[in-house]
Amino acid sequence: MRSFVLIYDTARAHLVERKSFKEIDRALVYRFAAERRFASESSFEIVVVLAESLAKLRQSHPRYFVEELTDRPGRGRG
Amino acid sequence: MFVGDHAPTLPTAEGLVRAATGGAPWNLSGRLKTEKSTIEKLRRLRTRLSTMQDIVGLRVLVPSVTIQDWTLSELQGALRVRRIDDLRERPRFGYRAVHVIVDIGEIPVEIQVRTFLEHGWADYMERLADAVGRDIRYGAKPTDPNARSIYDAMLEESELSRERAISERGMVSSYRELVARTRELHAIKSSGNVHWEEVIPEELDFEQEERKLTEQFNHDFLSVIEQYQGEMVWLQDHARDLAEGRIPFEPGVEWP
Repeated sequence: MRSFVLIYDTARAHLVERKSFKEIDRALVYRFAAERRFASESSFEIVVVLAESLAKLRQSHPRYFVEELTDRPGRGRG
Repeated sequence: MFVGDHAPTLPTAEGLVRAATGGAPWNLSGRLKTEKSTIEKLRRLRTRLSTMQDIVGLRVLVPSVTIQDWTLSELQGALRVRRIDDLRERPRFGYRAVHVIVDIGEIPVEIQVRTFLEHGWADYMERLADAVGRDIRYGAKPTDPNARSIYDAMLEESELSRERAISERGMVSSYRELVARTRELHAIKSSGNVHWEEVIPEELDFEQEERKLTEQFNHDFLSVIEQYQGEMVWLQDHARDLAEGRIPFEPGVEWP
């Protein structure tokens, strides 16, 4: 299983960043640093998800990959 | 760092659930609760961090409701179950799934067991909630008429899934009964204790009968899965419309 850190802007339905780690501890360190980095972004959601592969992650957490369903990025709101 | 303390439990729980569900051939994932949703939940339920049972969460996706039943039974047999929230019969504002809270060591872990269709529904509702307001997941209604009509259609869709579950379980149960009956008759015939020719046609080939039943069942079961997939496409199309702004609406919710 790989550990993915996803940084998602809920207001724009936009995946800001995706990082993948072999070790969950390293993913967690990255998540906490990202939470500090984006502390002022109230619409950002920063999550650590474990999945077998990126393809399986897209199935289990499709909401973060909405842009891949569409021809243009995000909802363009806000 | 409370959430960080729970991190080692996630891969452990994942391994145990994978083993319990025969290698989880469909989809198994895990997550640590985000800071944002942790704070949101603490505020909403006026609870304490130490009592939260879903800091560590796993998600098992399965194709249909009878496979969901099987998965649930395997989890109960293999893990220390603290509580089961079966939201299929009593959905939470339209959301249906089974949540199993287990203890891994001293840490509670929430395992969400969802059918693909329940998952598609939940994902679309999350997207709608992102666009309209997060509280629609807890009973608030969208104020905008377009958003409200999508929301109402989602609740209707959720109601339909109950009927689908009853129908699928009925189909599986009929198949099992027919196979059991065929085997029973076969055993009676083989025992030689009764004049079986009086009740069972002499030429009946039991193995062939069972094969025919199984072929028919497999065909019917695949039709059910295809029907689910059709409805997933419906949800996916709506999600695309929502993402691309083809259904215009203003954010905002109100409590009934």
